[in-house]
Amino acid sequence: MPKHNQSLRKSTATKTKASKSAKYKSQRSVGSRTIRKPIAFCAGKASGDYLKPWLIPPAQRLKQQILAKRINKLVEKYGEIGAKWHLARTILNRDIPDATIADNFKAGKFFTFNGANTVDIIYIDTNATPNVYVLEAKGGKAGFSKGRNGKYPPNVNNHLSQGNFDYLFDVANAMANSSVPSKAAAGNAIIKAYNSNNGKLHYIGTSTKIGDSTTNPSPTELFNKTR
Amino acid sequence: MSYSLNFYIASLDIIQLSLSTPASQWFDNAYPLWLEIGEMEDNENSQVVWRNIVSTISDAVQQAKTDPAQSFIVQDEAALAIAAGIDSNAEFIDSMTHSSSSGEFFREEFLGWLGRHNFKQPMLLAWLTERALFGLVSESYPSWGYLTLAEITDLLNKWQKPKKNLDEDKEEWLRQLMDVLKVARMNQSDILTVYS
Repeated sequence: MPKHNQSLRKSTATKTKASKSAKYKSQRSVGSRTIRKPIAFCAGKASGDYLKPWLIPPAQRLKQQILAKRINKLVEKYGEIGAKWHLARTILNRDIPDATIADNFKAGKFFTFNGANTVDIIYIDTNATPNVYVLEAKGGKAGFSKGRNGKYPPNVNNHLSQGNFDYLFDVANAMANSSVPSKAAAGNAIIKAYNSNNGKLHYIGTSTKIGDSTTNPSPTELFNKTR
Repeated sequence: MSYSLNFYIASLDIIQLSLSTPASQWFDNAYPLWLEIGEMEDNENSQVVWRNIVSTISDAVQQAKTDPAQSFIVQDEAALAIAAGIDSNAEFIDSMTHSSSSGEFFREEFLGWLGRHNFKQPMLLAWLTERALFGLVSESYPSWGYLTLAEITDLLNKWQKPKKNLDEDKEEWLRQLMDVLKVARMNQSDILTVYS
């Protein structure tokens, strides 16, 4: 390994530890450009997964794959699992299953959404006056966000920062105008909770760092707001 | 909305000079944001780590200058330093965002597909999300990329409108991307990106 490259890798205590492992070096192709190959991942859908101690099995499998080769898809999935685990185990201590593709939007399950103008995950509890939980998930070192320019009243063209309710309200309006029925339903549910005194709207951001082979960092809260 | 590809206009020549000079204002400007996004306190330990990062980054950029084939994988706090440096020194234009479950959709089905079919540039995805910046490469978040003014001009000249209607997400991203390219061309500037 060239001296300068070694120096770069020693810039943190984490990398110093990792750089001592020959296996790590061979796996990571240190000093050379690597080509990404997709790794198949089967998300843990089993009931109760998010109530297990961290690291839960799907997160553990992902972490091993990420340590072998950092692939954004895996880092994103890791962050998503971390956010769900944080709500289910740390905040609510409640079993929350993932919705399946066949599920229409409803209370009692985690729903994740694809696309440009959407929250990551939403869960609505089954209370008579339901609480709405919106989760924003970051994985690895992806902790940097520029926010968005508002598109809906009262924040048209205002700069909105992720983690604030005005940002969430703008995104929820975009979701409510989506042609995807479950996304539109979720957007309307957020707007209803935002405007109503029935039930609370919880907006929670988490970051799930990878750590090295010797540490098991659990998700950390970036923000947790209730309205 | 968790991940974003942020676009900035800046001069690549000035960035290269700044990155290869440890005492440059570029690094001084980056330090506060580096602390913030790394969730670190401004203390002696952080300052030592920072000086080490600045020194190693500038060494690597100088090495890459003499041997452009060299590339160095940058991770963790050093990668945050580069992301913070770009954001603190370049002019932000716009941000394309995607949820955590649609990263592959954004990268492969939007940027990759669009690059191959509508810009006739199969490297567009790599150029925007994981391109070596004077030898500095990041394998994962945060990563970065850039487009030179010549590349921007070429992309706009080769641009062909999609033959079929795009879905609402792709339409939104495409509108943003075209606006960004046009703003950069109007300013006769290069584009830098941070993907985080």
